[in-house]
Amino acid sequence: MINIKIVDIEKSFDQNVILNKVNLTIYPKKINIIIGPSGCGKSTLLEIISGLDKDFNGFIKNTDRQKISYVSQEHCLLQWKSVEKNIMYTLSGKVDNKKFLKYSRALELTNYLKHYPSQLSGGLLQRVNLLRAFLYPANIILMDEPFKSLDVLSKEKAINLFMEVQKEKQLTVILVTHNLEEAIKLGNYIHVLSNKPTKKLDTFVNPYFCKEEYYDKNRILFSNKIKAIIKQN
Amino acid sequence: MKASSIRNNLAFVVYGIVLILIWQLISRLINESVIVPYPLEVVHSLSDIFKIKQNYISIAQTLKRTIASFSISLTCAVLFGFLAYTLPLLGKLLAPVLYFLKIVPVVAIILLILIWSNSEIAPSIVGFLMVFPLLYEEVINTLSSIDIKLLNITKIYNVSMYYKIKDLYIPSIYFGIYNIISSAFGLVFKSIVAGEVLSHPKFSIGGSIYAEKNYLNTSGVLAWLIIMVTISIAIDKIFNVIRSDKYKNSRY
Repeated sequence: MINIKIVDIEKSFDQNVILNKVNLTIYPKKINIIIGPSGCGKSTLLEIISGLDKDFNGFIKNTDRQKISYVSQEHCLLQWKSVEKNIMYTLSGKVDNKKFLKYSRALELTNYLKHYPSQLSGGLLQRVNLLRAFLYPANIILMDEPFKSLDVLSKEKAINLFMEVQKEKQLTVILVTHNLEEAIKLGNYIHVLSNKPTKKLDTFVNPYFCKEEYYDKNRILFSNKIKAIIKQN
Repeated sequence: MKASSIRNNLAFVVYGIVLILIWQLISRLINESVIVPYPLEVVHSLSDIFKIKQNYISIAQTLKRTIASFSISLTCAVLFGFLAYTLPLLGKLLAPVLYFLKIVPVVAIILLILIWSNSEIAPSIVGFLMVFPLLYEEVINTLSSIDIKLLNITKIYNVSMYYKIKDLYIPSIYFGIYNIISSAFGLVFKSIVAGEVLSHPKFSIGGSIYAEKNYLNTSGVLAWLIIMVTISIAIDKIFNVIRSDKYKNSRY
């Protein structure tokens, strides 16, 4: 699998320029974090990559014929179907029962499978969103602040499952966040975006991927370096 | 029974009694049964209607026509609505026909259909033509207002057409049109009776009303109207029961 190239992406709403010739290289089978200030157009960029937003200039190379799953900030579930039936719907009935049970257990959703979306809290809905995305046989997974609405314990379990699924399926992940600590913990690569009109500032290979040494001096320096770049722009 | 429900029922009964008293008063003032018959005369006519076996057949035939016409209208509205939603060109082709049906008076349509078909089938066609545009437009509006985020997820996950129809489109249409379904059924019923009055098929409520009118039996006409109102209320109640059950199950 080759790199996904995001080339000269420009996007405006009315006359307000959001993305200003954004160029990124997404590394395959790796976790690519996109970080930047709130409102800089990270979610818009994900929508463009997913193919949902076609109204932009520039182009994206090497996403054709790839299966994409998407964890958006909104759950987007059928209100008249239970969680289980919603998963069946998204996967067109082709559910791997073993994985379904395993992932539901890991996300602590087994007691909620017969519930309707209106009976679930925001955190539970987000876990359903994750379950659906992990079960879909995708090569690429797009994630928009996927762990934001989860409590500390659920977040830890969801992250562990995410890492396991990514490794097992060799997924190319594009994860959008504005939480720098999360980015350093989860990403193989960290792409830093500027404020509006947004452009790419830098891409870092993350030496602290999956490492828990939060108080390591070099890690703090690395984190401060990224923070400084975002602040300057 | 809750106190508020008892109060409502009591108010309804009192209101009915007051209306009957006003009716009695007007009948007495006019004192001409052909123009405004006494309430008691209407009750007699009503009991006469129920004594004749053929009248039961007439009621059954009109209901049969209504159900058939409504079922066909609903099926066609869902089918054509869905096709027009997916193929906008078809929607554009159907638009002038539907506009014509909406602006042309019902009686004109009935007369045209009577020329083109026979008296047995004409009322059902009238019912279809009256309610099809209504249901069709509602289906289109419902499908057009499906949450874009749901459609996006369907696109991203490449959901198969079978699941889209079964789990997204059919439930959306169901929830969209259910609020108007009992009034649409009522409209078919009324249109069919109107069609029967003009085409007077062998057994029909409309034909019976027409016969009573010919004999200047106003109390007979009013008695048939009471039967129609009763049937309409019963149908409305049945739809309400089905709806509340369905909503309970879907938790929507």
